[in-house]
Amino acid sequence: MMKRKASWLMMLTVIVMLSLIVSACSGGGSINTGNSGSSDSSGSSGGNVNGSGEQAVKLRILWWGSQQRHDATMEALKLYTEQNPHVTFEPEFSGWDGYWDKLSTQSAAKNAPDIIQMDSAYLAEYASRNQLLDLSSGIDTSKMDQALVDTGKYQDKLYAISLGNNAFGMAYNKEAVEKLGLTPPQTGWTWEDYWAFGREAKAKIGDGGYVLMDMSRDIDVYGLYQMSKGKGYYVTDDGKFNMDWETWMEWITTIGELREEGVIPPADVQVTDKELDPNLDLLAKGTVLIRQLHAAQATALDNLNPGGMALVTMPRGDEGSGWLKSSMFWSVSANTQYEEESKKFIDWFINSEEANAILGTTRGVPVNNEVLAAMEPNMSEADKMGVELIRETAPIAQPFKTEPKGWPNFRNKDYRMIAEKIMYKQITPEQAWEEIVSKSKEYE
Amino acid sequence: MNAQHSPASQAETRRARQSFRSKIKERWESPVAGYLFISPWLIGFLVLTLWPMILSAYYSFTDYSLLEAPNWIGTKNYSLIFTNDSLFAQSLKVTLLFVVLSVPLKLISALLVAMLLNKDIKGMSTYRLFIYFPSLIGTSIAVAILWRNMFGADGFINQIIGFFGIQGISWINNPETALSTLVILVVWQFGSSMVIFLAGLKQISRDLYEASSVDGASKLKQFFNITLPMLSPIILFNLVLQTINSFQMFTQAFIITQGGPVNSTYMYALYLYDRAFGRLQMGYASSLAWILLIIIGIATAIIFLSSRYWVFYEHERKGKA
Repeated sequence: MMKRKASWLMMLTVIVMLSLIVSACSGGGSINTGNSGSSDSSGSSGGNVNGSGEQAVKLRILWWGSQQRHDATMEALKLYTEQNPHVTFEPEFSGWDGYWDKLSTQSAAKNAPDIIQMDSAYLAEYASRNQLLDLSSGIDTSKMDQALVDTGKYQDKLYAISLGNNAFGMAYNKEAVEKLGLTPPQTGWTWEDYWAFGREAKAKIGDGGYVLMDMSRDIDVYGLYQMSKGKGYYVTDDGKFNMDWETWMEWITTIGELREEGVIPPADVQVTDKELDPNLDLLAKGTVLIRQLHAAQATALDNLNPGGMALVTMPRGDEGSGWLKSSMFWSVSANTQYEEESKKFIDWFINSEEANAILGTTRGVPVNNEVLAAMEPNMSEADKMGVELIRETAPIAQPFKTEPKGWPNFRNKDYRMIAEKIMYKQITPEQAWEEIVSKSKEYE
Repeated sequence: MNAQHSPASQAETRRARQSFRSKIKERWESPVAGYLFISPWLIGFLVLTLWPMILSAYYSFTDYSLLEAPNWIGTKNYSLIFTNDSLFAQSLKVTLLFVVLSVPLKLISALLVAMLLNKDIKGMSTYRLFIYFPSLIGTSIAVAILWRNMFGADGFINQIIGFFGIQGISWINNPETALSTLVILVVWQFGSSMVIFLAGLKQISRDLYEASSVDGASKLKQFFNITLPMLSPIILFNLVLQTINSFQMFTQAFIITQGGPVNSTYMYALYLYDRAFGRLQMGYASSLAWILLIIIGIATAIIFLSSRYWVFYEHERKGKA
């Protein structure tokens, strides 16, 4: 009898243990259906059918950005759900840091969100690996500048819909510049003006602070410098290394001199900078007076110090500088089950006046020209500042460059690291040049 | 041992074996029940550890990009790593330095604190709780961010030493000091080793201390001649565990320094991660992972081989005597 009792107890325990596993598994399963809908494309097992007979759809949508962009986007999504009750959203959003790690992991697991915010630097990586849907049909792009539409193409197919006009320029602390009695930077200023502005301001500030950012690590800014000197971008369109020794030496020695003079902060201050982070951005903290920035970031910039900041074009050389680009894109995952609904949403996002009234310029200047014209009278000062930078950059802009496959890593990792060694005075510019050239061979 | 071969005992063994067999027959479900009991762990191990390991071994011989199907390329990844990868050498150097610095420091502080907590003081369990607490939260992202702020240019540490008139530097942003900052962070999380040491200390018989103090041994002598030898198996255990952990250092370096400045904290695991998710070279990263596994294996083997010279097992001693 005792034995029997014991084995019953044993069985009971086993059943309890197993039921825990089963419930754990099924729990995961139900979350999964919530995330990405049913795997059945006809949707028969998908879920509720609402009164109007339309299939309930839950779109996963992923973007990076600042708090302003998060808030505006959430509000726009809410409006879309009000107008289309069968569509709900599962938003995932974060800052730029870690965004691409997350997306690549999700893509590898064939679990990428339906709608993905895309950057031009990564468009080739994802489009060439068949991760994105061709968006040539189903989205009305007729009110956009054709040049802007084309920025979303990879090998003549449209994989990404531009969400904003953008310009690369500079942001400066207007308040401080006025207080110091300096002439503020002017549209169309040159690199010589820029360096001189730094020295002049330093003379007034004294030991208490710095003026210019150390842009040693930013090869895209150097690329613009080289273009403004008529020597092309740092990499050619077909993936050949194209840095000019003389131009680069001039650039890196000037920066080095300014660092010695205290115009540019020392390395250990510079590396703490995090763009537009209220506690870490060197411009926001008042450590420097000017930094490179995109027009699409105007609202976030203004938010750091309302009314106190201003934008100006990127310094130029004999040739123009700065560029117009698409601020960012919407792409649709190749694995989505809701192709039509995703396209419909993107179409609404770029072409609806209501949507753009909410979104403002949180993703750059609206791409639909009619919508923009209707919006302009009601724009905030910060928004107008962004639009203005785009207008001023347009006549002097260099053609925007996307890097060939692989090169983004050269920009993000290798070049930054070598430049850091110069900043910390571990190597001379000459030694750095050798390293840069040998590293670039890995990518050609 | 020899007694078993006498005829009488052979018959006995046979009988024992038969009864054992019938017992098995009677309770044939026992092994099944056993497996069922460990099934939560077993399933987890097979699905979440063994299968990914097999896959990664396969990927390490391919050009798998995370987004495209893998192609077999033989040992190309491995030969590239060993012949043409300066970051591999750099990150391995940083990681070895980190292991060599952090493991001994962590064990020493764990042991010292464990000895402190082994005393009979009122409210000891409360002290233990507070001292163990940092280790519970230590690996979290929040603490990593806290650390970044504490050791920054205008952080807490510099405010303190500024009070004494010393101009601090930005600890985490200088190539010379960044790694040490991370070492201090992990040393601070000595809790788990400490708990194991504490258990070990409690195992040491009081008689040994009493007898030796009657003989006039000082506290220091007792520590080196009683505590350390009696504790050496525990030290071995902690040493192996911490060495393996330290080789895999990732979170703190990722959050606090992101491998910088100038790659001075560019841990091996960080490099592996960059290859896998930054450059989408999962095949190459898998090769790196297997090389790390082998390196950890070698390090552990060295520790075990050396242990015969410094680890003292009480029962061995008795056997010899």
